Amino acid sequence: MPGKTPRKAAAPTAPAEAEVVSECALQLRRIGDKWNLRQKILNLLTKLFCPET
Amino acid sequence: METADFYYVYYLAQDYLQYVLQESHLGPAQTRVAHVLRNIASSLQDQTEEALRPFLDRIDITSVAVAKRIFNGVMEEKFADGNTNWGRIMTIFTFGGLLTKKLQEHGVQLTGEEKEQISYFITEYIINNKAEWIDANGGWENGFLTKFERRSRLSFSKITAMFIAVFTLFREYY
Repeated sequence: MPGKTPRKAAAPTAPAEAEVVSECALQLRRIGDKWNLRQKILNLLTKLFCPET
Repeated sequence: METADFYYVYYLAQDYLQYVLQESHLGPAQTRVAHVLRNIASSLQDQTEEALRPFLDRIDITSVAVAKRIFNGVMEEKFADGNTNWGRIMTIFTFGGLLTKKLQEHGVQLTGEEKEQISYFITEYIINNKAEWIDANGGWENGFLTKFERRSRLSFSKITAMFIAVFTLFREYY
């Protein structure tokens, strides 16, 4: 658009940091999904074995 | 102006960080949600630290600003597949806790102000990106607590043992 300066891109991060960010994101995703599934199973078993709770 | 939801999550983040840093003056949790978050911390925080430390040890986290940049980058990538669940929401807190510990290890003086800044950026992320999902999934009280609050005195291992026993019995006869 005339007269409008293009938006500055975010400051590039060092390659080492970018790699660490990707690895951490992947690990956290796995941990979160695993924990979520574990909790689903636990709740299901609780319902099955202790329906009064 | 910050909303009531913002302050609710801000309190959770602050309480969680204080708990992870094992601050001596910390009293009992003020809400059930904060209490459950603390309980989960003991196992999930360890898992997070064990898995992520080898990576985080490769970079220097020397200021709150650097921690915030890494936090936002990691969160953006973590949720980039479009999936959200309570387990992933939990890891927002555990990762915030881990970054806070790393700052401490790098000799960054964590005064009240620094801790407030960390709690603030954790809260900011949740409110700006996950508030809608949290609301749609029952909120903290009806969604998170329903899923994570242990209502039974039976532990996961006890229930699993019972399940295995039933399964073994079943196999014996069929």
